[in-house]
Amino acid sequence: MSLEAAGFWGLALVLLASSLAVVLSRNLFHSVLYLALALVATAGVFLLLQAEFLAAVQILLYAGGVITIVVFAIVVTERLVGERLTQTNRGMVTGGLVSVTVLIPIVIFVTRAKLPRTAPPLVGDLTQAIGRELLTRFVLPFELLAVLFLAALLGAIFFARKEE
Amino acid sequence: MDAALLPLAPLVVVAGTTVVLILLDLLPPRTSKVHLGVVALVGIVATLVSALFLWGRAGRAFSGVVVLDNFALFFDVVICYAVALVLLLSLDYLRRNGMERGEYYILVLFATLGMLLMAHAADLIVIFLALELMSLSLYVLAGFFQARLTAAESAMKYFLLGAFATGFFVYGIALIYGAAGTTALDRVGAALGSATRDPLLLIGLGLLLVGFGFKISSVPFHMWAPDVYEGAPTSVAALIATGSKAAGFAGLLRVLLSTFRGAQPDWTALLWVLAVLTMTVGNVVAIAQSNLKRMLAYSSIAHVGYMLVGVVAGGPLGAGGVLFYLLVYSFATAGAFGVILLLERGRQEAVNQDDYGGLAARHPVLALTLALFLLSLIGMPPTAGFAGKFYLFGAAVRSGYIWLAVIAVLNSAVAAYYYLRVIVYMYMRDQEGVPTEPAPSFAGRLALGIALWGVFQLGLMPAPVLDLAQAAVAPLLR
Repeated sequence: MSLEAAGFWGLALVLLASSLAVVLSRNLFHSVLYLALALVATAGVFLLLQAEFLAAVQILLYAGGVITIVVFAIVVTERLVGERLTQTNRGMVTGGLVSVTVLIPIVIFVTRAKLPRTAPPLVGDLTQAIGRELLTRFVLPFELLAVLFLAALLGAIFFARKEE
Repeated sequence: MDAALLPLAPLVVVAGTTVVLILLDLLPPRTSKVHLGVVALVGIVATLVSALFLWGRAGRAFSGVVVLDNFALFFDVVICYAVALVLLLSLDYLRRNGMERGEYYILVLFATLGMLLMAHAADLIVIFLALELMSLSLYVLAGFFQARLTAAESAMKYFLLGAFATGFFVYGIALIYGAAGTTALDRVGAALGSATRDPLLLIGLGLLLVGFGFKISSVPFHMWAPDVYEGAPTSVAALIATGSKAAGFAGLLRVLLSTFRGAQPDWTALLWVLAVLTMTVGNVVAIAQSNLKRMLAYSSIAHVGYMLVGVVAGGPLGAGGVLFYLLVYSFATAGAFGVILLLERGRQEAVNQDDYGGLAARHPVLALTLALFLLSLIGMPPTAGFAGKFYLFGAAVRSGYIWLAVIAVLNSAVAAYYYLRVIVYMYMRDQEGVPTEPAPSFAGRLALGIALWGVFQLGLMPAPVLDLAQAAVAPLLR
């Protein structure tokens, strides 16, 4: 087994275990920490695929931004409700069933697909290439993202603002 | 205007109007926001005119991620009509409910921008962004009447289920990108041409269909619709039922008919089942509803089923029939929601069918208007609903889907029951208790007039518009 394969399986194991822990642990705060671990493990998978930029973005945005927001949400909600929040798993059986029915076709189709055995060669500086593509070929989607954020901001302010 | 921006003229007009609205919202007066609605309406009319002016032109812009063709322009027209009706209905409705806020009009225009973008998108990434821009604005609008208890439920349900569907959609895009190495629709189509049964592409398409199925609320992804329509402001429910559904079909048709034409046998079989389920579940559950907004929600699900029949039939007749039907359906549905929105009973919106008892005796014109919209939804001649259904089911028969057409006709008969029930209440029952009275809104009546004109124009002279619809799908089928 090559070093790359060993790294992948190691990361896959961490990813699966921490993802399961997110939904199974009863303490909501522990769930968030496991989620952070899962997101960092995903960044590791990106690193293995030589996508350094994606790995950095993954850690910055998800492990950094999203996790922080979730922690804030838990703290504020616990203050408002005045009690410890715990995770309930009442819908475990139906939820598991749905997951399995979605998973099985995906696994079947992906294993049947003819995937390349070797990684396609990467040429040049990937980060530079992404930057160039973003501001040339994908400049419209890039700008649309700004419009999308403006709409989201407006909606958030609408709900957050007190009636005057 | 720059030549590169010309294909985007309708989008540019809407985006520009939105920016103007955001700035206008900061200026006085702070109490009345009717002028924002009027500016938004002017913007939408300008968009409609620009779309009509561009008819017949074709082109691409921004490295081919957006496209201008008759297909996109036809959807521009449908969406602009729907949004214009919604804006006209909203002007007075917001004030009556004490929620006259500038954000409403801004978000409606943001949603419109998303819808138009979906029609023009030629890249999966743009389709995704369009879908999100439209949905995000609608999630907020669904909860716009914050004081109502049902508003929060409506917005949360729409948001959570919508986000879930988006997850499927993005996963689908990722798998398609993995298989084809590109997100551009035409190049995905080319990649599919050489490997028709690539499992990755097929499962990717399946996941895309989940996302689209949610947006057009086809069974089994329809669960959100009744609750969201019930809790959302009625004008927003009309927008979700008409504009966002049209946008969903725009994306769905372009992806299926043009990009995934090579996999037609695969998705036709799937959509056949979805069409039957969607029609039947929508119509059967609608019978049990006594709340008119919920009834219209299930009815809108059933109509999606009829339109899926057209998608299955395919070809210029089937696909053109879907475009025609979308226009017909939008006029009738926006009109029906419009009448509900105008009627009040004891300071409450008249949403229960009991509220409609004896309406014809006291307000004959309004009752007749609602009756005509409902008759169009049933598919009675000479209303547009008849022509629309005739073309859709006729296309199914010609393509050899006899059974599908039979099931669709049987479903239409079932549907007649719950639409006629409302008419029976209006004409043959008496009002008990506090009478239901319409709000004195000129803009609202103007909207109903336009919708009524549409229902008869398309019902009495369907051929010219049907020709346009068939010309619109031609670039996709080439």
